[in-house]
Amino acid sequence: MMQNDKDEKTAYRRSDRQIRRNDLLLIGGLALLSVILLIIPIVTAVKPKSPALLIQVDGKEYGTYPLTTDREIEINDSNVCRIQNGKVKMVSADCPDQICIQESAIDENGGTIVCLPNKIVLSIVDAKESEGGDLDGVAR
Amino acid sequence: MGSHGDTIARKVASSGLLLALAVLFGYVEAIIPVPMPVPGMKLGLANIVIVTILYLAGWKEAIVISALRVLIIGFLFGNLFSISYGLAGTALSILGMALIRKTGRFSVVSVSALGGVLHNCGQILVATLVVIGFPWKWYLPVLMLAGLGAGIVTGFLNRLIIPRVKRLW
Repeated sequence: MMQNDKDEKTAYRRSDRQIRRNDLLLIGGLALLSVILLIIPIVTAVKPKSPALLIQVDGKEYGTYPLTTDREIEINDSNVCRIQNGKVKMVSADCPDQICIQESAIDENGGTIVCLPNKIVLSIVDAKESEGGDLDGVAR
Repeated sequence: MGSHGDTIARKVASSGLLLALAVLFGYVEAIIPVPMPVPGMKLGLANIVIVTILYLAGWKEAIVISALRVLIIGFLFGNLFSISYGLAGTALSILGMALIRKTGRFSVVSVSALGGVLHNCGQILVATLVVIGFPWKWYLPVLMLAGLGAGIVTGFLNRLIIPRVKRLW
């Protein structure tokens, strides 16, 4: 009897194979939800007038740098990112997975580059709106 | 009557076999990188095995084998970060799958699809907790869609696999 109960509980039932309306609703619902979530940040994004690179380390602002000036920025001796022709890329990181290096460059249209091990987030902000609005205020 | 011991022995052997298979899939993914639209994204081949275990044995077995897999793969190829993301994703996904499976209203395809979505949600949740300012708004929808696609494929594969390996447990 115990064995039968167990079989009943875990057996692969016929209903597990059949694809019914519920399945289509669930999968369709999940797809719709993700597409809506995908569209919201794209639609609400405003192209910044003077786009700047914001570097955050563990949630704290590390510095804001205008995209108009090409330069290389060292972040805490662990990462280096480069601003070139208005595009930002991570060029080196001391972590083993090197995922942030592979991320595509970000520019005035937005986007982010994240280095999870070193807790670094690169994003694009409007320099005029960011704290102080001081273009030359390079925090180091 | 002596079959009780046999049953346990068979379950231990099958668990080991399935764990080895799951680890092997992770190994294959680690040595043969497939180009992905988002860096760090993976196919999740091991989840094929995890869904099979969920249906053959149940959610407890699935969680234990899955956690062991994450630890083994993490120590072999990853780091503490990948282990914590992996554990969160795995736990959330198996619990979610077990819950909707229990309702009996969904096929293995949508159970697995939800599992794929929740797996990536769990990882983003950890990333958001660990890295303050993590831009989850950008990553969540993309990874949800990716998990959905991978989960559907995993589900269809399991429609073929489960009836064929039923006697393993």
